[in-house]
Amino acid sequence: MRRHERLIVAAVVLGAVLLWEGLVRGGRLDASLAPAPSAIVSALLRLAGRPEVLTSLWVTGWEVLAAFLIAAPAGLFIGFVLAEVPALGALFRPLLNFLFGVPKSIFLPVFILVFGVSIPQKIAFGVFTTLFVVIMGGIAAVESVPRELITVSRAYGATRLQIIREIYLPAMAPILLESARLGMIFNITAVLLCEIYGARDGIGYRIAAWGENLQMPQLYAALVIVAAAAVAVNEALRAAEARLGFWRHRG
Amino acid sequence: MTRALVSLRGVSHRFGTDGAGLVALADVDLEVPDGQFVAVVGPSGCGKSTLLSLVAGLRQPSDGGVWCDGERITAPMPRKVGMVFQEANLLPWLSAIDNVAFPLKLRGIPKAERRAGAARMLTLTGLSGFEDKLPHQLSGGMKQRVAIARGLVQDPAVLLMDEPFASLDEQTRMLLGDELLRIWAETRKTVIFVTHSLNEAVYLADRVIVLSPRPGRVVDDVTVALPRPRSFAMTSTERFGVVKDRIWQHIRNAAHA
Repeated sequence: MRRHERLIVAAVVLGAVLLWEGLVRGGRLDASLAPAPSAIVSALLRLAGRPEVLTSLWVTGWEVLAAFLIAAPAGLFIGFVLAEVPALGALFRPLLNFLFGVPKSIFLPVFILVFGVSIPQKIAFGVFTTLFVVIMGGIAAVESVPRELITVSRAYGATRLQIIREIYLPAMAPILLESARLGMIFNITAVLLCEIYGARDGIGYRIAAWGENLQMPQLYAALVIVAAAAVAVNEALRAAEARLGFWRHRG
Repeated sequence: MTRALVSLRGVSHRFGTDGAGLVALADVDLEVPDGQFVAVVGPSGCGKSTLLSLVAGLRQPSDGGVWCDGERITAPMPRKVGMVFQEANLLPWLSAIDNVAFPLKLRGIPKAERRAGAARMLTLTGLSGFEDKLPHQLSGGMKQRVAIARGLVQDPAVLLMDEPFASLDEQTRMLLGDELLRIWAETRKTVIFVTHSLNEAVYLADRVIVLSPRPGRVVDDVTVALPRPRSFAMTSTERFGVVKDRIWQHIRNAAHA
């Protein structure tokens, strides 16, 4: 975005917040459904000082990270194998395409039966949801590697290891990061869904409780925290993607 | 004439795992002396490219053998044989200079040393000043110059060129042809140049090998007795026409057979 575009966006956001505040103060907007931005900010500051809220954020963050650290390499490996071994690809890819389209949330009760309401259950469900995205990304990444570059490298005496390091990895990196980013969005959604559905701790658990008790300022404050964290992760991965994909044609 | 640098003896090549598939080349014998510029022409699918991939060591012949500088080729020999493909096939994430240096990187040569070598090759191919450009910032002709520089960076005895100008427009193709002849005159490599274009073959080469339709056999071996350096004016001389016509007869006869 160019500078003046940023300014316009900032002005629109600021205007919307001020309008919201004014509508609540003027009694035109029900504060029990949409509390004023000033009330949300003060709730945010109060929550930030409460240790149990920080613990919940830590629990959720840990679940998300653990699920990602399991799902990303596993999904990549499976995607790589399915793309490179034609027989396995032919066997499993139709099944995978089918499962990819099924909403994963319908399997949540099964995970509760298997793991109980626990942290491993959140991680397992996060892995299950993220895995498919990363496998698809892994397949796409392998298929994006230009075969001619492999021939060129072979003609110049590259070993198998050198072909992986010099051709596969740089060619796949941008697409891998892109699928990691998509996977992360699915992962955060899955873990929060688990926590809202049933949990003993975690920010999703707090959101569900505040929602049930109609504690709207706290609920909105939690939404702000989660949104900020998700945007930060997303933007960091996107910046890495742009850095590693500088060579890709734009426009 | 000097000794043969590249020799193909009784070479046949069949595709398919058990060699039962398509026969691409049948019983090809070819001796290329050191420093010669040889063009290989023939109808589409006659195995011209297969022939090059055998010399590059990318494939093994089903029968017979290929030798380079007295050594039998069983795998790529990048220090003896450089290769340029139809598409430039540059690594899109590497700058021009790093693309040229890529074969040296594969050999584990330190960065400063390989960049110095690559810079010399870019100068030779008329690309000094473009060292740090990425492939997508270069024109088609410039990319192919980078590919030629990469083919020459290890100072191989042989340069294989697989229709290197086929995807360029005609003007660029002619300019690059002259550039190639200048580079060849400076470096005195042995060049095996596969092309669809009879004009290009006769204009560039000392000798034109004509292959038959699949399975490819050598049907003619024509010496191009035009003086060097070649000039565009020679393309309209009688001698040029006679050589081109002789090759054309083979291609036409093959199409009617």
